[in-house]
Amino acid sequence: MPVQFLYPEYEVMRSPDLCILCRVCERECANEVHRYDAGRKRMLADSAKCVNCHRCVALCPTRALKIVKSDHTFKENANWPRQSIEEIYRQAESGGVLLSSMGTPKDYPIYWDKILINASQVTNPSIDPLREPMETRVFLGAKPDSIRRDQNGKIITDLPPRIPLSTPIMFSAMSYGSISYNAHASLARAAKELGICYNTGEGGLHEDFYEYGPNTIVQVASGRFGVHKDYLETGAAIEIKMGQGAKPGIGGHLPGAKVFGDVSRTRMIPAGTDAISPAPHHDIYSIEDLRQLVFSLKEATEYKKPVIVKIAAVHNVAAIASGIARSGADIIAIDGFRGGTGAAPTRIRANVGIPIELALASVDQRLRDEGIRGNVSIVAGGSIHSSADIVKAIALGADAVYIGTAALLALGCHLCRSCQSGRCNWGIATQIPELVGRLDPEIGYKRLVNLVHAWTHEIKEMMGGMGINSIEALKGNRLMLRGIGLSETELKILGIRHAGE
Amino acid sequence: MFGYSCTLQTDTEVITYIIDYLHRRQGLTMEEVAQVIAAPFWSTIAAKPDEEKAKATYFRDVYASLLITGPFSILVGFEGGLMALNDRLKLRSMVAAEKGDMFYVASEESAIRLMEPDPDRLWSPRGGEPVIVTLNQSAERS
Repeated sequence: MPVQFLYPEYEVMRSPDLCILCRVCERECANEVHRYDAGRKRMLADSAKCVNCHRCVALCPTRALKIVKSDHTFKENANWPRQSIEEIYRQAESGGVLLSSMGTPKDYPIYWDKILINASQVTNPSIDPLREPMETRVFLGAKPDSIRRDQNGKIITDLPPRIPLSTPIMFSAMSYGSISYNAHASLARAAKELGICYNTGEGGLHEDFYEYGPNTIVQVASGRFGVHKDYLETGAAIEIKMGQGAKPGIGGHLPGAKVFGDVSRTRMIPAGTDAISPAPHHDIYSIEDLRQLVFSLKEATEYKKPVIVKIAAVHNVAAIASGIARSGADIIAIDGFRGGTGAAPTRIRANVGIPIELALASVDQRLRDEGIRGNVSIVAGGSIHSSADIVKAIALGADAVYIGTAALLALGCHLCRSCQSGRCNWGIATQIPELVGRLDPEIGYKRLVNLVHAWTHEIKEMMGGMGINSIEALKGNRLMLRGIGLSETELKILGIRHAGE
Repeated sequence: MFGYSCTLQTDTEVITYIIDYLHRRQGLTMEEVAQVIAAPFWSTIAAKPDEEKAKATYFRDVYASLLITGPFSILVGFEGGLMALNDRLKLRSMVAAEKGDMFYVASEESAIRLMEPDPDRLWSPRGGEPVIVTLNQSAERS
């Protein structure tokens, strides 16, 4: 028996009184935690294999199972917490880079939770969204500086290409490969039903989903996987992925084990090969180069599609966004450092980038100061938890938000943060057919539709409370926000006053 | 972002600058200005004929941030005329009246009756529908 340095962080607890030996847990766990001991006629569990995804808990018919945090402990040490010690054991064992999935769980400040929303009293009446129209429609795309009239004085109503959204929410980029066919099917159907957009991520677009083109943002990332003319022409918009909040400055890596069948065909790479997205785009080393790619994509699609440039929120994000706003791009998507991922080096995820709230506020302000805010729309993403976060994001200057993690949670994700293993018991972040089959797109799309409907209702309630009946009138309206428990510097960057001021 | 700096910090000042921007700098007519700051609801736009729909959609898209959603009742004087406008929900009141070549506008009908007990016509303009009156040429010259 080798020495085992790591004790499971979570333990599977089973009530023998409630367990009826149906063995559902055993069948449902792709990590093979549960097994039946025929000799002793009882179920056993190996907690070391458990990722705490709750699949067995959710399917146990008698609620005999629960997962608890282990009270096993190292000698208490404020300087060397358990996680730091165990990560060293892991790396001493493997010699490798630590990998993680989804957004960083580290205890960084969540600025959304330190911002309060205003409401009307007396002087400006609140509006009841159940009685009065409450408008959440937005258009993403460049706005012209001035109007043009024909010789009869009529306004020429041609506009640069744009994305109409019934509500300012989109599903953020998650590639086919990192998530399953059924997850994509759910997102695509929900986007269509809702009148919003989902995003292919960098893995190309499966042929079955071309019918959802008007609700699809097609991504062009550094690996250029699955990019061809039909793909570009099918989408409602094209997104150039320069960076991702969870891993700014580095590329992506889909292991060869996940690249087979439809995934390999959709990505247009041989089965079994690792799909490696380089850290930079090898044809982009400046804003001028970016401009060339923006216009190459526009040229290829006859200037009918808006081009989004997605960047990770990093220290000098405002200056970068200013450059992008002059590159010919129509929309800038900013991804905060708490954003999710299918796999990222743990150290990068936990230490690189800045919060979306600060990035968004500084970008919006910079573009306003430079008089180029109308050149682009801004989409903010990277851990939007609720409708209140969306209201705050819009008041800070966003035109719309991207939600990724929240959408996956709606599909059943339990944030076990083990996507990189490819054995997602909920059928989301996996390509194993038996697991993928567990996510029924029929149910999945309805849950996504429910979530976005619910959030939109809540957004309308908050807008009504402020006496605002068009979400456009909330955009950049920072007077509707106040900070709580924030320093002078934080308030200055967010461009908001402290509560009570 | 439009290059105005507010000194009074009142909504009236903001509305004044919005109208300056749209009318003087962007060259919109006063009717068009009203269509931006008290824009019709999407449900109303959907029922319009195509050409009007295109124009209304264009305004709501291009000047989205200049829609004023709170309650207001404003009078805008311009060279040779006057525009009276309510917010699109008509949260504030406004009544207009005519008598001969005189035009009256006030928050309350009683105020108009005080000045002119027997107007030819007295009405409450709908929210977002501008009432624009211009001086007769003779008056303009004098």
